[in-house]
Amino acid sequence: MAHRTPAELEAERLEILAAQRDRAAFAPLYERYVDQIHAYVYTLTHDMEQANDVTAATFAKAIEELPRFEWRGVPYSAWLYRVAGNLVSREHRRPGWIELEPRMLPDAGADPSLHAEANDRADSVRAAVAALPHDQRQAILLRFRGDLRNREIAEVMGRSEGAVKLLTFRALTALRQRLGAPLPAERLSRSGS
Amino acid sequence: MTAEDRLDEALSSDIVAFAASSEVRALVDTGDEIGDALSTWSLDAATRTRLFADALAMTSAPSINERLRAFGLDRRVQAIAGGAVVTCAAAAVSVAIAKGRRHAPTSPAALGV
Repeated sequence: MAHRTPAELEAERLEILAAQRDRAAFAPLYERYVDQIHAYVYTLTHDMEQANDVTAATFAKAIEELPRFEWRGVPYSAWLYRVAGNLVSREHRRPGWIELEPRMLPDAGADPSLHAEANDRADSVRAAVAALPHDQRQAILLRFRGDLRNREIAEVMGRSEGAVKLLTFRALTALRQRLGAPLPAERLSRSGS
Repeated sequence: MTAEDRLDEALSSDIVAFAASSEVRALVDTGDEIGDALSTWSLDAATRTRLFADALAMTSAPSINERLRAFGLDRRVQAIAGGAVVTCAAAAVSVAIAKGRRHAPTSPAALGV
């Protein structure tokens, strides 16, 4: 897990400035974060159609708010995650919300015979994450997929840093109990991962 | 220091993780595995493009100025507005002149003095 370096954050600040001057310059930011946001929404909702809709709505809001966006020294993704989380909450309150069983995206380009064991394991890991309680799931996704720091996660979730640490601890403890030890590295490398 | 603090430090530093207890190291390993599993999630190019198009479509509800510009009406509207301003100004000047004539004292030349 790698948090953003000051140089990376500065580069992102400049990208946002460029996008504020010219909307076409928003594309690299979209490309960088669309997978993360989609995975986040899907893991929260378990619904591919909702994940697509909320992801598109998140970036629509990002584009609309771009002229008013103020850089605060944290990754742009922290703001996107907060928007996406709010949209999910709003959708969740609507009547008719159906939570489907987790189903995972196929790994495009992967050869099933070579990657079967590693893919099965990755599927199990993602399914275990998807089965966590909502706030633990959110904390895990923001930390291990979003690479956000505790204070950034706390801001996205509207919780204290201490609460985020506790959620992470409880989630990892539950996942370790459910999943056991990770596959040994030599088995992962033999299967091509 | 609480268990969650110890885990948090180990997650943030490889050196701390290396020196941590076996229980904490096990959780760090699980965290690494989760990061790897979640990072394999990627959308295909067509879906990325479609979602971006959807996002743009959601933002494309045009403002009144954009609608006018799209139909090439903005210049006409500006011309009409400009014409209206000129007309009002001319009317105001005419009224002022007319009032001035009514109230101005008659010049001696006009009286043939």
